[in-house]
Amino acid sequence: MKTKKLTFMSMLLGLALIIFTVEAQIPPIAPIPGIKLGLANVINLMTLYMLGRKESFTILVLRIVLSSIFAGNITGFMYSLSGGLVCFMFISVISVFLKENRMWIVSIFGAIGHNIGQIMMALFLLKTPQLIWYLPVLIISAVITGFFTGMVAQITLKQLRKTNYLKMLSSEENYA
Amino acid sequence: MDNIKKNLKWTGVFLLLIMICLFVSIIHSQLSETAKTAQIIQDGQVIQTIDLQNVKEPYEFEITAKNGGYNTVRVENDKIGIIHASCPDKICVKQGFITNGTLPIVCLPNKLSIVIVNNNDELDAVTGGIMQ
Repeated sequence: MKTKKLTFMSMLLGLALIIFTVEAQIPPIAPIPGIKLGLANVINLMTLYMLGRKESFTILVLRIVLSSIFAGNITGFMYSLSGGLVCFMFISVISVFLKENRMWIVSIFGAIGHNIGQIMMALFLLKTPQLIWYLPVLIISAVITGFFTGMVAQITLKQLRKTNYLKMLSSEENYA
Repeated sequence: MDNIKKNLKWTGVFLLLIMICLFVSIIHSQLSETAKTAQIIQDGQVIQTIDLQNVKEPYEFEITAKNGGYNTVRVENDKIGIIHASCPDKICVKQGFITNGTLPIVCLPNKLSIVIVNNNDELDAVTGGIMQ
């Protein structure tokens, strides 16, 4: 892997970790487990469009593992992982059909996927079928939060494309 | 122009999705209004069943989780809730008291949930069968 790309990915991972940690300090918006903004997904979405699937997946998994180690919370790890993986499945498929000017749509699907993954994990761990009734509530919240995080990713990436940084990153690969 | 149209189309799709979810939630809450039997479920096992219509004196008890945590459950006439918990986010406490089967109280870290069901609820028996 090129040094420049490795550095860039490390920086993205650092950013995702910071965003995740800061967001964890914000008290829950609603007294319903699973509802949160999910700002760390901004980095995932941007990486997916800037670098590609493999890179986005790497950053996602590393972020989940590292943040769980920092927080020292195994339960959180299980839910983050199941949510993150289903979210990644959703966004990596849907991003094939949608360009950068529709990242907000990809983000909403990702947020819905994240909540589906978490509900599946909750059903598996708690074995309480009634938890499925959280799904409609969580999907409504996912559409709203996914829209906002998607717009953040979309606007940030648009600004970033105006600089030469990303071009430099890809041109490096051609001759290095 | 085409761009705006496409965005509007997607906005419509998501609004429709929200409406469907609202509809499902509302129908479900209507159907579960009569439920009055609380089940306390830990690690998938029903550890206690409480008839909420026959509570004469409010009472509290503590449930110890396998991870060493605890939840204090308070039972009053017609309602049940968690008032203290060892988990960091205290979402189960913030959910307050529930009086019907609309949404169960859940404490993810302690693998505890409180659901309210009808005494002989056929619907829950059916969905329960599918989920297991």
